[in-house]
Amino acid sequence: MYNFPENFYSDVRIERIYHSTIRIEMGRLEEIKESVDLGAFIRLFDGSRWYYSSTTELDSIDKELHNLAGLAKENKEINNHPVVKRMQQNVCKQCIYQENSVEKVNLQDKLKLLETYSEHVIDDSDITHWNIVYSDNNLKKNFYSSIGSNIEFDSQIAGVRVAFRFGSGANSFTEIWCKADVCYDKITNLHSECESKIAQAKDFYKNAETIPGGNYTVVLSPMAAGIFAHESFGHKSEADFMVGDEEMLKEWQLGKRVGSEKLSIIDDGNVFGSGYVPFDDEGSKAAKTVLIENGILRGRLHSSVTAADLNEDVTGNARGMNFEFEPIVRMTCTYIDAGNISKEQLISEIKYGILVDTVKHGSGMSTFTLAPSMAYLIENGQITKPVKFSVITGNVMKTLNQIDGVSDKLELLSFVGGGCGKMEQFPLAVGFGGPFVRVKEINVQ
Amino acid sequence: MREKITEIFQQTSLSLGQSEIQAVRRKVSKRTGCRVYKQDNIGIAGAIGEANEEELYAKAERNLSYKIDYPVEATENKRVSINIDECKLNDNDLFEAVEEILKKTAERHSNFTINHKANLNTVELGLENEGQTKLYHKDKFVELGLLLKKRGSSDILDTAFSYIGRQVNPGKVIESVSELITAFEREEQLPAETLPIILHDRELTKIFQKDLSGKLFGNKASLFQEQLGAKVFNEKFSLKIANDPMESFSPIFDSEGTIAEASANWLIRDGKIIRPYTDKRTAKMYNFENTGCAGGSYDGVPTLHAPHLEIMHSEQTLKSLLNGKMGILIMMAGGGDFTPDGIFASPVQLAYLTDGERLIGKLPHFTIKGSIYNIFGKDFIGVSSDKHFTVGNERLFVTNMKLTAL
Repeated sequence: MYNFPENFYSDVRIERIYHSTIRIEMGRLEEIKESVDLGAFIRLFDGSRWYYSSTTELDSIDKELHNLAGLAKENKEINNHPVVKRMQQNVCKQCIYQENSVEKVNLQDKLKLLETYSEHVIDDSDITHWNIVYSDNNLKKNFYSSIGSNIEFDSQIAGVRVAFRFGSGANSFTEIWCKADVCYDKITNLHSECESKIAQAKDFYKNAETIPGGNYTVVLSPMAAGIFAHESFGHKSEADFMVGDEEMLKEWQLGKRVGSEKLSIIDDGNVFGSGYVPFDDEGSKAAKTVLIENGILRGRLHSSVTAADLNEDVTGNARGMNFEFEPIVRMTCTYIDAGNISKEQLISEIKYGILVDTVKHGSGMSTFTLAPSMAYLIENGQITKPVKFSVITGNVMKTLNQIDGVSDKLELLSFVGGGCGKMEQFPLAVGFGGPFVRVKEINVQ
Repeated sequence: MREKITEIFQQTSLSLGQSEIQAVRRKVSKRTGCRVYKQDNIGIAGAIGEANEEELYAKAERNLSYKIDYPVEATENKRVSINIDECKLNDNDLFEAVEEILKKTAERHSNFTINHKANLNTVELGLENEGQTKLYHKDKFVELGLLLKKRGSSDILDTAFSYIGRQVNPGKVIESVSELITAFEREEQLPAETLPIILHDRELTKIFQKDLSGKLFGNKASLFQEQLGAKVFNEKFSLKIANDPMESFSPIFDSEGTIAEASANWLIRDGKIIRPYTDKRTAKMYNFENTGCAGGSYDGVPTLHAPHLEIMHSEQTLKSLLNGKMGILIMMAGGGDFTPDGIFASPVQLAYLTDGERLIGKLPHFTIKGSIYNIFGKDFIGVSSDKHFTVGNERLFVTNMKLTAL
């Protein structure tokens, strides 16, 4: 245990990260590496300001705590501070990925696995460029605080990402297939899914037609719905942008209608996958936070600081990108909850619209965008042909109210490579997903 | 041959919230990468913190067993040391400058808050090997990222000021932030006439970062595959790799130790596509010139990375490029993208009307759209000779694009 300075709140987060990466490009092994990083992030709070330090010298943690205390002002009432009172005192050990750690899988076996996935692209004469990556990490965290927290837990992710381009010049098309899961064994036999995605992409490359811009009824796939939920509403639910703004709080008053009654959005760090965060980086337990329930604003995402400022409870969403960064309010696994009609019925009710199947990226402030990769025209209730366009876009709040159908099967997705960016902290692993979601009117460009 | 990479990053970072300094973070991180080149293969290993180099070289030797192809020579007999010591600021100077900016802006604009970060960074990078190469780069600079949020706004931010440089002039920052806020508060209508679009070129040069890759050309997969050597853009349009350490805040050498000849930095000259960008392996494999674009992490195999690109600026100021007209300055346009055939479209979350010298007012949301061949072709107007402090102290790119109200 550490010598936490008196008359301050302080905590220490130690991270041990095993990670390995293998990359094959156009049949050539480009990279294969594995390493273990070990470091700590140290925080100290005097009631008015936070002081942070990160180090890879774990023997120096007591010294770092002492140095930070030297910058701060003693506060004998620190334990009665509203922020400190919201800090949870958890003592537990929750390591579930040590027996089946990806660290125990031989790097050569991982390479062999990746080579089996490369077989799906290597001989396809329509594919002009490809690149496949295996990536994993096993993260073990220890968290100690001056108020008695002592937590040890782990998380893990392993995945394969296949990127491929058909054609060249103006007639080219790039798509990515990516799958990740919490155990190595679960990604070893996804070949038919990979093959099917490549076949779908080839059909798209050969047959997609440009469609005119305008307003369309749009069905978002689970992937598109998840990105929409994350970008358009998830970031707005991060309470740090409301702190100290009374008018903003009135605008975002819990209980207010913000979307269609078909819409419910949830953030839950307990979901196994790339958004699994059983304890956040302040030692708070993961919560299942309902952000929107049947169109009504029900909750938001908090750290201890934002929870204290808004007089609400912590939600387990204070996350740092790694041991070099302080925790800020971030999402974990964010998804639109399932509805009660089938995907087929959702589509059959559309006379003329678009299905957005895969998405390259999305963004969201008051206006959101999704840049589709593969999309399809819907005519008279049937998916008829692949179509291409740059982006779909719209006003977030207006679009939330125009959701008029949500399918009954929820799909939650995990990834390797990339992640969520906020301020300087990118990429942070998150999960997202949803069912198929129908929106009455979205602008297509 | 053995080769060592070292990265030392020292940072003092102030977290800003509600126009106050809410947190102070100090860190020093050291990373070491060791490479072994042997018989057209490369082995690598790396560590964070204090590293035992012999252990890393031993691990790199073992990594050779994976037979990663590296059929090019390590850089030999090159010695360059660049220490940019223009920044004399210390932590207290940063603290005082930021407090002044926060205090005076709050006095002038009490309905706005400043959030995000102010950083003082010192970066040291080294590459040395048994081939008598020793390359070193050190720089110290300030980054300001000031997100300006109007109280009661439903957005995470409303407008923003960003700056990277080796000095801080709080007075100048305060005036710029004030100009951004004042113009934000003055709402203008979308002009009925077609006006030039002004933006930072980064959003649009992304397509060149992707499709001028030597790997894509080598595999006949680039959008510009059939246009290498052809004049396809405006003759005033030239594009180069930006690797001047004073301007780019990054080293002049790449992660293979290459310092490309100045002439090799040009990818597009006078509208003609001259060459793709490459690293050593890509250049050799596809018979292109090496443009020194190897990147990668300290413990990774050096591999081709998209470089920072800059459009050659004109001799005209922004005002002169506008030629007596108003212009539409795009400040935030997140989420846009290109279609495979080079059509760009993006919503614009924040734009100002400007006369080329001052911001006049804020415009409502709209979308922009255009073909890359027009944006850099018949519609290309130019890049300003003058830098605009209020807009990130950058030169600005002017073109014509289709604008549609949302």
